[in-house]
Amino acid sequence: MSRVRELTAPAIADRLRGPGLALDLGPVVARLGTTLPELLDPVRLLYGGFPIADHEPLVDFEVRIEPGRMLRRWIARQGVAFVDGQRAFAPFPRAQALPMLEWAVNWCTFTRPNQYLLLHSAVVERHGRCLLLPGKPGSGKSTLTAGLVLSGWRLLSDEVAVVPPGAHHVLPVPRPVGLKDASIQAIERFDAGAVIGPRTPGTRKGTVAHLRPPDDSVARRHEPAGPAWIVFPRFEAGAVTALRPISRPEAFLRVAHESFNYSVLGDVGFETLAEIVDRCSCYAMRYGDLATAIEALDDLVTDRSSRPAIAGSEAPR
Amino acid sequence: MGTAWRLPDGQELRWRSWDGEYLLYHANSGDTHRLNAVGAAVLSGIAAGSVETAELVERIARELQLETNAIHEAIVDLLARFEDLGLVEPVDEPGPRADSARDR
Repeated sequence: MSRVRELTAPAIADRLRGPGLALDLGPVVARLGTTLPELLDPVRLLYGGFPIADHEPLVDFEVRIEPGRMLRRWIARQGVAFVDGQRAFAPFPRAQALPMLEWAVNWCTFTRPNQYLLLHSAVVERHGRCLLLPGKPGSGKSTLTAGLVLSGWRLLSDEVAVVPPGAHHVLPVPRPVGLKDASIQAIERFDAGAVIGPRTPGTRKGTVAHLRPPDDSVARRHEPAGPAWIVFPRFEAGAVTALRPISRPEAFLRVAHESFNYSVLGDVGFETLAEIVDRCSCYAMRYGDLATAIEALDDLVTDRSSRPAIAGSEAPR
Repeated sequence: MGTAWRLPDGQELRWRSWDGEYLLYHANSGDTHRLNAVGAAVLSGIAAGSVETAELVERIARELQLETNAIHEAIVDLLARFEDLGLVEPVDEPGPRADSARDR
């Protein structure tokens, strides 16, 4: 299967303009399309390691980013997004086409595959066990994820933990890691070799850019990992990094509350999430700088005492 | 004679317990509740078969080694909350809901 970067720029442009570029993202196949020439280089850069999935008989969703029509195109210079051929979302400044493409692919990934339990959490893996980092926007989750990935952890996702019902593992969906404002500089300082796409200023999240997912994470996109830790990060400038154990019931409810479809799945969602939480040690982590936060999480991997106790699933007597 | 309690027909409850706490999934409402040992004992006591408030209080006091007087009020309040949540219902009062102080 060819990878995107193995195609010439004109060949990628032809696909994006025409039938679309079908990508194997792991649990989903997405087809991307656009006639905007400014998206060609970012797509090549950020998705270069992904295999082209032209042979896949089933495409889960198609996202196209196109110029607006008439006044939107020539006066307002706006773009529009289409999902599966239908206009989706409000028009946006054309200069924000790349974040809009990423946002639209995220939206499809979070709302379409309801055959899985979808938790709002970053997921990274080391030595076969994965760490879930649930967090609200602004918690520092993506910055931490980027730092971990640049420190040797495998990226499963920076936004969503995909769990098949009844399974004891998380499926990878390794996509570009979204960074914003000061996080972009923080990651550049952390690793001068980090491959980061173009900056887009003025979005509703501020200036945004995307870290390219490592080729190894992309290559292992069909390799699930068993969860071992759930850590709720919270960045506070100047704070001393500290991990505080929290109970599994507390972690369960916090994760369920932030899930994309826990309530949709009913008892299947409850049992599936319980199996995940059952296997994890759970913490809240406050951190003030990336290096000490990564060090604290690396220490979890080597601490055998963090293995979870067995929990009960029967009604109390 | 005090109020007797039971689970409504077709009630489906799923449990998990960790670290002395309980999570309860109430399939009929889709809600997930976090309970301590007393809350779990109240609900599981009723799930085992309809039971009067006084007997339930005595049973839980024995089971958790607590004073009956110390937990009676809390359990009466808890039963009212469980009734509001649709988790339990009184056996003998089909009419308008009696006030939560009926067993005080």
